[in-house]
Amino acid sequence: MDTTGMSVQTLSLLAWERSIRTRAHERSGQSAQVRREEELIRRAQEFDQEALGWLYELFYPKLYNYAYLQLGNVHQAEDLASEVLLRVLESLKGYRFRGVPLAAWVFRIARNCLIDLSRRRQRRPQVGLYEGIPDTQDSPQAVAERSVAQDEVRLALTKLTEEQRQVIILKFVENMDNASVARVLGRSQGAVKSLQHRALVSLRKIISSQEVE
Amino acid sequence: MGRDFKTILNECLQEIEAGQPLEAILERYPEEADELRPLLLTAQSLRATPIARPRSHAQQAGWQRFLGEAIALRRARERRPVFSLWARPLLRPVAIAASLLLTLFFLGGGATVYAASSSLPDSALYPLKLATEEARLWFVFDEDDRAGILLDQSETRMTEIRKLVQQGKPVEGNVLSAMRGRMTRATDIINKRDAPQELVARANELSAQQENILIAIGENVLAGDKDEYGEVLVVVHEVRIELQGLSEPAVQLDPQTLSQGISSFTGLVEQREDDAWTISGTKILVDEATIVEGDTGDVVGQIAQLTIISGPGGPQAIGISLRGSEDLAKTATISGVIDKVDGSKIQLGGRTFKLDASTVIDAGSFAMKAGVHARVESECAEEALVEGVCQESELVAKRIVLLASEGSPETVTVEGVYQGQDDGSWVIAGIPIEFAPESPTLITPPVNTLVEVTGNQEGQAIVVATAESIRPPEELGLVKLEGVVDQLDDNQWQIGPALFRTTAATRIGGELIPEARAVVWGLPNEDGSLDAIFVDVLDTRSLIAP
Repeated sequence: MDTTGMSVQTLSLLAWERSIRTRAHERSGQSAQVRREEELIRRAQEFDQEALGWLYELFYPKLYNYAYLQLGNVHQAEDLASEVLLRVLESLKGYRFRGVPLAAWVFRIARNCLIDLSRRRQRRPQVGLYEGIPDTQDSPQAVAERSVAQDEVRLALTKLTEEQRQVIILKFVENMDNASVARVLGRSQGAVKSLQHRALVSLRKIISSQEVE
Repeated sequence: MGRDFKTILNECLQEIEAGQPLEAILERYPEEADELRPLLLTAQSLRATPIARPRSHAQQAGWQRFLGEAIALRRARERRPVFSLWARPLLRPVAIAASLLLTLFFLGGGATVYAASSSLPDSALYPLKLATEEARLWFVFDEDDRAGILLDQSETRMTEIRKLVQQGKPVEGNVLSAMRGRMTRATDIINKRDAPQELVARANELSAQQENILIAIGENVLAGDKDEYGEVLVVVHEVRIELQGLSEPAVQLDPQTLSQGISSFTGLVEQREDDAWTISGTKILVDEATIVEGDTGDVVGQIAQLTIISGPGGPQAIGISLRGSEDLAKTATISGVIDKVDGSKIQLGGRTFKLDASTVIDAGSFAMKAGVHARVESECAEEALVEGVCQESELVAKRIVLLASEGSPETVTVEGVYQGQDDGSWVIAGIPIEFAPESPTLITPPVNTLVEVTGNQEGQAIVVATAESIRPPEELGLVKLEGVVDQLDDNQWQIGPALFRTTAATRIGGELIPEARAVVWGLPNEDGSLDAIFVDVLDTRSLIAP
């Protein structure tokens, strides 16, 4: 569009209109995504294989990563991801779509499974016999570098409180918003902001002390 | 006052997420920049943490298991109605006989069934108890009788929950779902027909009691059963809405929201509008589905206890219980160590308190047993007040809060409205406080003052060490908050929608830390916040050890 000779007001109006259109487009994109998710959940509730496949493919890697960061054991993380998805399957019929992302509901179940596992481990401590080797297509050097970085973060996370750890992983690793994190934790968004603040302060101190060592 | 740091930090994190450069963000917050920078850098490095990727064969094996389970669940659902003998009335006697024979054959007969009848939800015999209850309903053909029995059974679940909490055991999903199922079936019958008024009243009263108990036991529910807990809270609350003929709630009750915990707020009603009530300076939203109990005529000036959740527009009341300020005179709070627990009675501070269906036990993670430090909010029945003094056998515990696993065995605190003297004893909320000879001479407070007396218990008498006027008669109407605490600043705290400040004069029981659950009594300030007078921390332990 040729804008030569247009007044400042007209240009501002055009910019405003464009921003409105962009936001409307973003909103319609988001609502289309929400509608698609709602439809897939409905189909998964009827045991439609394609929808179940979508659910599994979407959440298994996320749940594995979530579990691995907290358990530090490949086998336990795999078992937990599988167990969570079986629980999701059993409870899916009762899930009611209320505009809250499905991920918040799934990770709430995951956190509960993790808490139950932690209780069982406290009663019956287990020692891992060996650690599996990830079978990825990456080079050994890339795998080793990734493992070192993950281990540093995992070590630091173990020194946080359970809720602080959840906020860090859900917010900064799983990229959830505050509303979803609040759902998973069963806390208010204000409490999540406080936890986020305290967790980052603690983590900063822990990481600084690790660097000194 | 400027915005608090955690809000600024949150905004900066959102801006980073939206792709804005760190330095540009920090320029907008020059005063906070030094504090913000390391935290934002930490957040950035966390976002760059490499993702742990699952092994493909493990993911594939998990998918096979997942798919197998889905097929089994689908088949079970398709099969269920076809093979149900119970769905066919003519075959029902055959099914009953077969069930009883199988039960006797496999479980050794009546002795096992008898043993199961007293089992609790953590027992292996508990499913048999539920099945036996179910069998009882097969022989009941009158719908009102069926509804009555289902209410009895739902009440039994409530008693079981109370016993679990008293014993310091967690509340599991099986008892919650059984309570929900029976209550739902009973109210389905009641709603479908013109049920007798007493049945409707009983269902209403029982659901109110269950809601109270459920709100108090949130901490005792196993983490894996929180969703079932939210579901049962929704059911009992919606039963009350239906039975009272109220409109659909404006804020949809959501099990996930309810399972997050509910705050309680008690204070003086200052203003009533159509969509909000102002309680001691705090505006709380109401709608047509808010259950209001008590004298609803002129509510301004009454004491209101509100059950609140976080709604989209701010704190929303789902229930309001109103009491005249004169009712305070019948209410006393006694803190000390439990001497004895005996069935439906407990002894504390030399007094015996009866527990009834309305008693709420807030146990945190403690068991209710002798030696535990507790706070009992008690009330004297109207008819048991003789010349202002409560006949002791009629003290009813309305709420028991277990504060710590142990306390000083002799120290007792009594808090209530001073009503005058009787034979040299002070009468506080109907309870006579006898002074031992060695007690110091105390200035007699004006009648109707809210006082707190602390001393050592010696038999029935208390050797009073201190007696303190908390509020003069014209200023009764403290605000009470209960819920999870959030820290805003060194001395600034928040429970739900309400802010409170701790001062040098605040008496704090337990360790007040963020995320603890606490009961706070405070005085409203002009700015709407409270100055805390006491804070009782209920349980500071997190769900699992870090």
